Amino acid sequence: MILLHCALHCEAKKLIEHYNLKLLREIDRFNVFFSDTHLLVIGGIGTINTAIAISFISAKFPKISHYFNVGICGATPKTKIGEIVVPYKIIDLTSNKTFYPEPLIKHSYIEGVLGTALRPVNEAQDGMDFYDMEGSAFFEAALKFQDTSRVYSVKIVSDNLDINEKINSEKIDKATVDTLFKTNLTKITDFIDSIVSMTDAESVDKNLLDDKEISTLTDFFIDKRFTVTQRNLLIEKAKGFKVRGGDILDAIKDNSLIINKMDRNDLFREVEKTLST
Amino acid sequence: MISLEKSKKHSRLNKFSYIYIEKEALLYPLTAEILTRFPKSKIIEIDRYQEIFNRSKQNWRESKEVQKLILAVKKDKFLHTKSDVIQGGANDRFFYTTPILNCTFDCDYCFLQGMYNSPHAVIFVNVEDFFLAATAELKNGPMILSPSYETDLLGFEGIAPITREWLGFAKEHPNLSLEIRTKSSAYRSIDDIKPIPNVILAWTISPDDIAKKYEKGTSSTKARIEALNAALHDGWQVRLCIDPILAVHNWEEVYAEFFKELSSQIPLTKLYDIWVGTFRMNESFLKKIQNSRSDSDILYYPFTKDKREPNVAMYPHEVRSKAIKLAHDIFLDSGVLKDKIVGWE
Repeated sequence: MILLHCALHCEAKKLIEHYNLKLLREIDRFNVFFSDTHLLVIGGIGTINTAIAISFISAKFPKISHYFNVGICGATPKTKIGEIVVPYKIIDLTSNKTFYPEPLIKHSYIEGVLGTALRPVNEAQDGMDFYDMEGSAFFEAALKFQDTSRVYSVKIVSDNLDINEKINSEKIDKATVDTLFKTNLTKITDFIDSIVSMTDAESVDKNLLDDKEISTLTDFFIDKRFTVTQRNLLIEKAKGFKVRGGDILDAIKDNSLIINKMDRNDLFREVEKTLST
Repeated sequence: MISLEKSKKHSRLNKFSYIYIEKEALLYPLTAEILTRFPKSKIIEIDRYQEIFNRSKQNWRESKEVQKLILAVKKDKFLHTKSDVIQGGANDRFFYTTPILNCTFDCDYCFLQGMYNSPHAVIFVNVEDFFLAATAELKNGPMILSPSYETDLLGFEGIAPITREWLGFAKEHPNLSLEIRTKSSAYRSIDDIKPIPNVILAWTISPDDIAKKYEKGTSSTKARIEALNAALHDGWQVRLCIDPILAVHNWEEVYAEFFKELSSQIPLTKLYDIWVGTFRMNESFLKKIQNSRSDSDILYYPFTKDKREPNVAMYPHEVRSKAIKLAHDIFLDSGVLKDKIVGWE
């Protein structure tokens, strides 16, 4: 499951349409949209909202494989409005915590340092290229649940540090954001889809054993009254046995009747030996 | 439903497309030299190499595919004493040093996957500080030093010519025994240097099928044999390492054939020595690697432990003994003296 995170609905709208996502009505704390492959959460503006949204959704959907923060950002005047930017470093301007995403793919988007602030930024700071109000919290929260090579931020520049003036003069509004996303949607989704296809192809099943094998082993352990230590050891042996091409379900077929501790230990040694071949 | 396969418009990054540089490292000549080799790479300044290297939640396999370079200045701990899993004589003063952390190659059985959070390569550009530390230690007596323990130093020679620097240092310090061990064929990058009596150039060589399957990115077996022979021909002291022997399917036949092949392709009697060892690894490193990958059968052998080394996963005694004996028998038949074959179970 791929998680897309936006602060505002106007940032999410085109993504919802593109990925054909439906509103998940069971959740009322946040607006969450879903399909078989994607989730999108609208977390609200700011770091606290972002951290809560990512934590909430990660707890609710434990099988999220990728995290993408998508939204608008401010940039110093050297970067034009409407450019796609991908930060290689994110700094929380309040705590000075830094995060480094793992660059994986070739792209022509502008890269730089993203500073995350509590309020809209109107003055450039040394070493910052882009500014937002969610990035650092998104990374800090998402990295609790997923690897660095599966957590990214991709933004569209909406202003050149004159956001307050723009908001006041209504030069940046929902329609403007909508237009920015409409114009750049393919670039954003190409970035997302490329990262996903590249890492999904290499994804490693860290658990190794499938549901059927786990359930058969569990039944077998209960039936034979193996101790917790014995169970843990056999699970480890079973993983290696499977990687070496063994059939676990075939290996643990056993009808011996366990009457006492000695029977149990004999059977344990026998199974351990089989799984060690 | 969206097909994830349809969009692959962005291709994977090339190795070393991104170079992270500590601000302090910018001042060193080696940094400038390395950067000339990567004119198109993205340069990112950092304060400390640990910001990248020690990040938690790095996915070794995914990141290794797009390995980054980190140029840093090492501050302390330039020399380390012998580890239990390194070969060496009991009375030798053995040290290893780490001019580079991690390797450009990608061997399935490499312990570095379990040792570090990151697969990215850290090159310490303050080479002179390593020499100062070695010079100070040499005042306490002769020592054996390996600068290629946590990397393949010669494999990096085209990027950072540090092997050449160490060879120059060894030439000036005869009481230092230096071993440069490699799986590369990059001997050509140092073949203009005259042999140095206190330096051993060591090649780790595996059967071709095993090298192709489990030693990704390394030079071919043929190329390694050619490089070894070239060094031998030029008059260097050369060590042949067959380590680790891997207990793959039919391993006895695979290695017997390989040892015979080596006997016919290398003038074994001219070698300084031959080191033979079976696969072994610190148990916690192995556990960490197993937790991150399930694509390599050799990491899932039913290993045992030995009372002498309770933290090291290894093959059962029978396999270890058979492997060493197999090498001994074939190499002795080829005329190699018994004391020139160092077995490492």
